Amino acid sequence: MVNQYPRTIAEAIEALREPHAVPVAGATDWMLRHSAQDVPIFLYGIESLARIQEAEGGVRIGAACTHAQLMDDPRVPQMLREACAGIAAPAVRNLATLGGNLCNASPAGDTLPVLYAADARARLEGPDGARELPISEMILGPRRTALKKGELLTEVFLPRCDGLWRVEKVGGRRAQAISKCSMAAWIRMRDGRVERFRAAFGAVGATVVECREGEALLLGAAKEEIPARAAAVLEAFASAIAPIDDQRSTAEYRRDVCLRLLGDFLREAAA
Amino acid sequence: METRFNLNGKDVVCHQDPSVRLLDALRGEFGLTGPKCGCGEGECGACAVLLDGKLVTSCLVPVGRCRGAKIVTIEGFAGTPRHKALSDAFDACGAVQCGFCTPGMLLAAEALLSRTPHPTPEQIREGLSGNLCRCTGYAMIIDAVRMAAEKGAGLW
Repeated sequence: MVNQYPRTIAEAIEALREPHAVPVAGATDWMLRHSAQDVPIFLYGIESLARIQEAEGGVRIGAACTHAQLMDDPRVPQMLREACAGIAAPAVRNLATLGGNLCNASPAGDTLPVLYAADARARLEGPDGARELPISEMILGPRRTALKKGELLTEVFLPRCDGLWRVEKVGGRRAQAISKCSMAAWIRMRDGRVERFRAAFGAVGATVVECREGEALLLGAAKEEIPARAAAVLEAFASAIAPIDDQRSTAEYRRDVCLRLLGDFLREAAA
Repeated sequence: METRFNLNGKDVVCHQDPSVRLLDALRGEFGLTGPKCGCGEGECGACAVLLDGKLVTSCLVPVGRCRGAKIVTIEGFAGTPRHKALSDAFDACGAVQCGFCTPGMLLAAEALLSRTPHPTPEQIREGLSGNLCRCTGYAMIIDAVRMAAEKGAGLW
């Protein structure tokens, strides 16, 4: 009989050998689309999966930490805390987890733009050992990840993202909305020049949309040079952002709003 | 399959499959009809209960997740001084119309005031943001939570 209540990661990995085993953390998505044959492996009893630890250069976040927990923890970078605060409503944030948001790999997953923009890494553990992947390599497409059968997402490493940042979510209402589009952007200056610039957009492509070419255009710019370069940056992002029309919004609206959010952020960076 | 948890202060054994919604177990097996099924997908808050002191939508909680947990429904919250303060304020403000959302609203208010005993109007809106009132009587509900926080000062 498979152990559906593992107390350690090793026990969870052992339990996941069962052919129909499904790791279940917050369950908020699984409850809406599980199948009769699923054997849930409940992860809530594994303490290390709900732990937040400071580490060199950033913070290590257990995959089963809830959004409410992340919002409340001062060790978690504000950029991620703000993204968590925009998800659903209090009752769902008390259940849903960071790892669930990643493993569901929805194009509209609200923590994803922050994790991409901050170059977060995912730790996957399985019967053959552990490996770490950049988030952008863990998420392959809508509801598709690089997790192999039997592997478990155990931890997310989020590098420190100090500097000027902005997290935006555009939805039908402030609570309980699935994003029409979202953005996480940040700029770090060093010796008066842009050392790092990242911008990532959610719900405007199959996965989070980034544009290295557009980001590179801003590197090395002094504050007062940012406005002159902004048009070229926006043009580069305009060609990368390829949203679709669906029941929540139109492609035109999404692209327009994304570029305005980015333009607004660049104006703030220049001020 | 058996799942043991504490329900409104009593240890109980639930005989549902672990993937069954806690909401269905509460209403069907335990006869607690305070939690309602409004949307069935965590959007409306009518099924809200407290799980280990935290507000959750019981339609999204599998019974198996409750092993060893403490569950409080509106039936368990009733009779406490905090419930009385909220209930009196809801009465005074006309915050109950059809009543379908009321159990969830009261528990959302309890969860809010437990963390934030003196909430701003904005914090009240945020605390109740996952609870829909199909009669759209939000202004009275928000007034009631504010009144409960004032008149019940010291309870939270």
